[in-house]
Amino acid sequence: MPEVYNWQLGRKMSYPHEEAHPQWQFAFVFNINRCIACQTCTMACKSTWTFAKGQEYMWWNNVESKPYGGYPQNWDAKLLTMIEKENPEEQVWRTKNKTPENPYGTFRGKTIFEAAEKHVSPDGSKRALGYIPTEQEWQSPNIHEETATGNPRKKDQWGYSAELPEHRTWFFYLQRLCNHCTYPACLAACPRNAIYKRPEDGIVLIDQERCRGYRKCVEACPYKKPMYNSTTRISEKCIACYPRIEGKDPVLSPDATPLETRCMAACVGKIRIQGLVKKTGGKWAKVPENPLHFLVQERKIALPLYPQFGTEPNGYYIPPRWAPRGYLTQMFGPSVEQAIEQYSSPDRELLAVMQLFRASQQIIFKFKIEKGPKVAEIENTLPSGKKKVQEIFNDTVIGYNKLGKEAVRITVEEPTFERSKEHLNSI
Amino acid sequence: MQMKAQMVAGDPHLMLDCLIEEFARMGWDTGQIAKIFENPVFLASHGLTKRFGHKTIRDRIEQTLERCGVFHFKIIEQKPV
Repeated sequence: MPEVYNWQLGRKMSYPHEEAHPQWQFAFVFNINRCIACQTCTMACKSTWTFAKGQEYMWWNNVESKPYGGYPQNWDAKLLTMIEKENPEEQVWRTKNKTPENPYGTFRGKTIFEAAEKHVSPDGSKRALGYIPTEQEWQSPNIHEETATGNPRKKDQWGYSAELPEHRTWFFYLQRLCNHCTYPACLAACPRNAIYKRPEDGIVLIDQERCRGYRKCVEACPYKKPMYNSTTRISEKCIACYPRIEGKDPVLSPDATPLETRCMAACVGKIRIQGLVKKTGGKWAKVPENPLHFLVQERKIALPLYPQFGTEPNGYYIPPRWAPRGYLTQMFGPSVEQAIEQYSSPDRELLAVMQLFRASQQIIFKFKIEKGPKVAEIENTLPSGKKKVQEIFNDTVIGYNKLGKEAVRITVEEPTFERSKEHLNSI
Repeated sequence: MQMKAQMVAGDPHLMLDCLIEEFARMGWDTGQIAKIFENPVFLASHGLTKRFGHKTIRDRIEQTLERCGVFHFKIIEQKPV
């Protein structure tokens, strides 16, 4: 199998195809700390792309509760268990050699591609370790939370509902869509070569005419984001709202500037920012004024989801401050502590950039900060127990679109607008 | 494979403080933040209300806003004439 370089693992790894990279890469950052699971993103996606016959249980974007929820149920726990069986007690990170090129250190364990190498069947060796979820596992978008009022815990005509004590303490919401991975497992596994990664933006798509519905992609994707449509008998997945990324919406982007996807643009909690990052070979080009580059590469406050799977996902998360660190380290790699420490008391520049989350429908390619007056000082207690005084400045952050035009201008002290009761639902 | 739920230690007080701080930093006031905790649609925040009670939640929101609620612009849309 060819070897490719995975910067998230800090090493080369086996992958069924030769290394190749797009000019730009679709990427996003989610701030888990702010999400209250209103599911507006989920419904924005559903009402745009998956409302047809055969797509009833299909949620390209979903928000699930952790640790117990999951769509499909227990997708991550199941795969982690499978890899652990292949490589017991060796799924570890070496963190002493962290450098700017290896920001998380080096992963010493096996990726899903490497763990599959021993699995040889009459039709060849497996491309990636995985499994096909059962129909039952796909049925609940977020078990016990998919009704408007959740689990009432009262006796009704069906008897008592189950109780999940974990949910009372430290659970958090995990927002998920296809990570449009640099080394997609779905693409690697497809026997028809029906899956491809676009050279212009790194979006991973399934060619609906080539696909024959063998479901190898469903089995291989560690994030379980390709889904089988039993009506059309082919597989489907998130298409990253590519007409919006291409700037094809004549109303919202008459000058053809790229727009954020529907799920990003609909986020009322302002937890999401999405963009396109320039690639030079396998690495991100150094563009410090790009907000995603700033959050992922420079500050390292946003971390990839299960980087140890080896697909180099392009979705990044600011981990929740209240969850146990062992669990978070398993989920986001060994830099969790550093990311949370930084987020708990953001400095001037970081606080300004955080204002750009869901501030504009247009993709922000560049930001600039105009300095404003100091408005407050607050004392924060960091997770390590240290006290830190945070100075807050009412800076203005300006975001620019692909054409270099101003797309958004927002202050740290953001004004709020309240509609009169008569016009609550008017535009 | 049957997956069993495991109890893992957590700190609901920390979770409560973090959630309140997030919305305080976005410029929300006591009433706005309290609504997220009172509304049963939002299971995480509402679960904390069920655990701690309405009064404790309100008190904690006010304490947090006292400490870090530095955002105070508000524009109320006027009725059209």
